[in-house]
Order: sequence, then structure tokens, then C-alpha cells
Amino acid sequence: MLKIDGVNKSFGKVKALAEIDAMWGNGVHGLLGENGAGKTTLLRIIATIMEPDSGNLSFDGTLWTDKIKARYMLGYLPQRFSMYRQIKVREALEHIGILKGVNENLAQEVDRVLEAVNLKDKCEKKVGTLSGGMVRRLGIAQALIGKPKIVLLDEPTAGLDPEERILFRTMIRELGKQCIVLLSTHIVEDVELTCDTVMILHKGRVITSGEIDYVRDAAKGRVWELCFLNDSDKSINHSWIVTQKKKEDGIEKIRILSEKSPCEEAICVAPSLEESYMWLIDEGERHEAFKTINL
Amino acid sequence: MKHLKLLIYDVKEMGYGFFLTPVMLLLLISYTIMINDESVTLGIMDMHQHFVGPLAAWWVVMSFYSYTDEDGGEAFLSYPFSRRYIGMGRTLIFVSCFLVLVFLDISILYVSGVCNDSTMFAMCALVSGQAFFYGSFGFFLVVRLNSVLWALAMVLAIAFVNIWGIVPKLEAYITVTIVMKRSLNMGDILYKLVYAIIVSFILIVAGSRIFVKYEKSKMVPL
Repeated sequence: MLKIDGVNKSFGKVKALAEIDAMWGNGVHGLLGENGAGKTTLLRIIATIMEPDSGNLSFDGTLWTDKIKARYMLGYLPQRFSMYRQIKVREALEHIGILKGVNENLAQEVDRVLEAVNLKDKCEKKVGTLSGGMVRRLGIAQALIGKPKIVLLDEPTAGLDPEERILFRTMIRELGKQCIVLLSTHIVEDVELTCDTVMILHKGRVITSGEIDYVRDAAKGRVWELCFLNDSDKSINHSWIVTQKKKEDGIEKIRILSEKSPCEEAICVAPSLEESYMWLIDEGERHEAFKTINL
Repeated sequence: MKHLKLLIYDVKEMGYGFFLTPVMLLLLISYTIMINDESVTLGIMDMHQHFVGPLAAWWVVMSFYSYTDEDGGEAFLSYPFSRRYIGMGRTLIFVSCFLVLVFLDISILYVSGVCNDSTMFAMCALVSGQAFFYGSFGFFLVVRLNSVLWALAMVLAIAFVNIWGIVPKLEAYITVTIVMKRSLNMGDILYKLVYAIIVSFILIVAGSRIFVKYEKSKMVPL
């Protein structure tokens, strides 16, 4: 179990993380939040490349104060991954294997990760000649070398085409069967389709966390659907939070987030994770505003 | 063996940039041999110690490009391999390799009769001191400034100051050089060499401490 206990981090006056507590076992766990929510900072702290101001991290009794020991258990794919460009893919992975302390059967280990990310046919190509998607796959491969117990992926699907994204999701789901995978993203669909649990961060705080279904239910009874025969723009009240707008058989359907029914014709529908996420963020904002007023 | 493999990959990664140092040395040797004139020999030797020193920083600084200047350098920092080796170890290896080249360079000059027994020792001592200083200084700068470009710019700026003697007093302390026009007093040379080695070790240890505690904080923090 990866345990995070009361982690705080500030950059000057900006509080990047406030009292983060979490406990994760094997599986894929999503970190969801808008840009600047603190997801990358949290991953960097777990990846031991950033010190928290306070708080503890541990995995099965190993404390993060022993960074070298912790690093042997980690595989980390940063948001922007780059690698030595002048060397071949296989050489790059061998290089990383040595840096990660893989002393035995390095060649076999490199073959294993190349196969896992489907890059075996490109192993003799120079890293600098790979496409964006292949570099991301190489990034995953370097994270997997040495069979880490914790894999940290910071926005792994950013900038990928739909086909690559689907491949990635399958790969990540497979990975979650063997180890702890933490997936940071602001793409709700990625979390919905790959993760077992999700933690939503907003301005450095945990708004909610739990299994996907549990978090999805956060907006239960607050999502409403309205149908319009004509152009809906004229009828939409600008105070409504419209989450979806689509046209089906000449009828325009919109989905609204609202505490109460926005009008008599509105039908209460089941929320999507994206709607619950928006609801929780909005609630977080209102909570912040309430706190500020009371100060 | 694994250290050798790492070194080979580091060298490969430098691409054609790796050859800058030997090519520059080769040009310097050719030039020195071509103008083998006793009246200018001292000047050429002076040029050697001024030019050769900064070249020592090139390999050291360039080997940090992926760590400091590439966004993905973060991944490197999450590996358990000793950062002391990547910092201090690699610097010492590159400086040692460079010194081998320099000794070859000076030996060629000796064989071709450009320098005699006494000047050869003086040159070996001075150029080694310079190379060691600049290599360590380059390492310190690149980990302190988080930028290969800035580190190289500063090394070149110091070398420029050194060459043109813009601030001769500062030069004596920073670059630990002696100008060859002064008499080649053996005691003085050894004193300067020891001084250079001590300053270089301080820089390497300081740079290594920075690198061990290195955080990817220059990037957007959140």
C-alpha cells in the first residue's frame, strides 16, 4: 500500500498542496483536476524529485526519507518526456536500465518492456526520429523497466491521436493488474475508462476521492435534461451550467447542472463523471467563496 | 562495466559536439607547430593554457543537457543511480579524458621541438590546473544555473576575461593562471597547481551537493 499522510507543499505564498492524505493499493488510480490543481506537484513528490514541506510517504513500511530505496520502487513518466535523442531506442532503455539498477538480464528486461509498449520493431531507430506517440510509449517503457511497484504517469495521453489513446488505455489497465498506477490527467474520459478509483484535486486540496461510481454519484439528482424543438440558444437561461448540448433527430437536447429543477420540463438524469467533476469543482469554488466572505 | 556503458551513451548523445574538443586541440597543435618560432613560443604556450582550459568544460557541461535543459530531465532524477556519480564522477572522468588529450597534445609539441624539457613540465602543470579548474567550474555552473547555455556562456566569459587580462587581479584568483611572460619559477607553478586543485575540488563538492539535492523547481511548479 502506498500511503500519503498529511502532505503539504507551498511555492512562496501559493499553497500547491494542502493536507493530502491517500492510500492506494494495486490498480489504476486517477488524479483529476484542472491545470494548477496540484496533480503534478503531488506526483513529483511521490517521484522523490520534490520535497514536501511536511507530511510522510511510505510504501509497505519503506519511508520516502530513504529516497534511494523509494526510487527502486518507482517508475515515473513526467508530463513532458524526452530522452537522449542521438542514441537508439534499445540503447536508451539499456541506459535507463543501468540507472534504475537493473543488474541482471538487462537485455531481456529491455525486450520485455519493448514488447509491452509495442516498440520492438522500432528498437534500432534513433530516439530523435520517433513520433510523439512513440516517444510517449518509450516514456512508459522507461517507467516500466525494473518492474516498479509504483508507476506514476503524468498526463500520458496528452497530445496523442485517438488510436494511440485507446492503445494507451489498454496498456495502463493491464499495468494496473500488477502494480499501483497513478494517472494524473485533466481528461475525465481517460479516468472514466481506465481507473478503479479517482481523487479530485482543486487548488491543492482533495475535494473527494473514491471509486469511480461513488464519485460519479456526487451530482446525482443535480443533472437535468431539456429538449427543444427550435434553437435552444434563445431559451437557455445564462445562469444555468450547461454541460452538454447535442442535436438528435431535429431535437436539441441540453444537460444542465443545477441543485433544483431549472424548469418544469426538465427531466432528472444520471450524471456522468465529467458532470460530477464539474459539480464538485463548482461546489469547491462556492465553499472557498463562502469561507472568504466569513473571514 | 556499467559505468563504461553509461559513459559510452553519454558520449554518443553528444553527437558531433563530442568532437569539438579534439578538433580544437588538433587545430591548436597544427598552428603551434607551423609557427615554430622561439620568439612566439611563449605566446603560443600562453594561448594553450588560455584556450585549452575552457575546452575542458565543454564535455562536462554538455553531458548535463538532458538533466537541466530538457523538460523530460525529471525522469532522470527519479532513478536510483548515484547522483554523486552522475555529478562528481562524470565530471572527473571527462576532465581525466581531457587531460589525456592535453598530455598527448603537449607530447606532440615536445616531439616536434616546440617546447623543451622545462617548458613542457610547466605547460603540463599549468594546463592541467586550468583544465581541472574549468571542468569543475563548468559542472558547478551547469547545476547551479540549470542551463547548459548559461554555464557555457559564463565559462567563455571568464576565459575571455582571462585571455585579454581585463581584470588581471581577479584573473589571478579566479582562473589561477600565471602569465608565461613571468619567469617560470617551479615553486610558483606548483603553488598555483595546488591552489587550482583545491579550488576545483571545492567547486566539484559544492556542485555535487547541489546536484544531489536537485529538484525540478525551475519548471512551472503546479
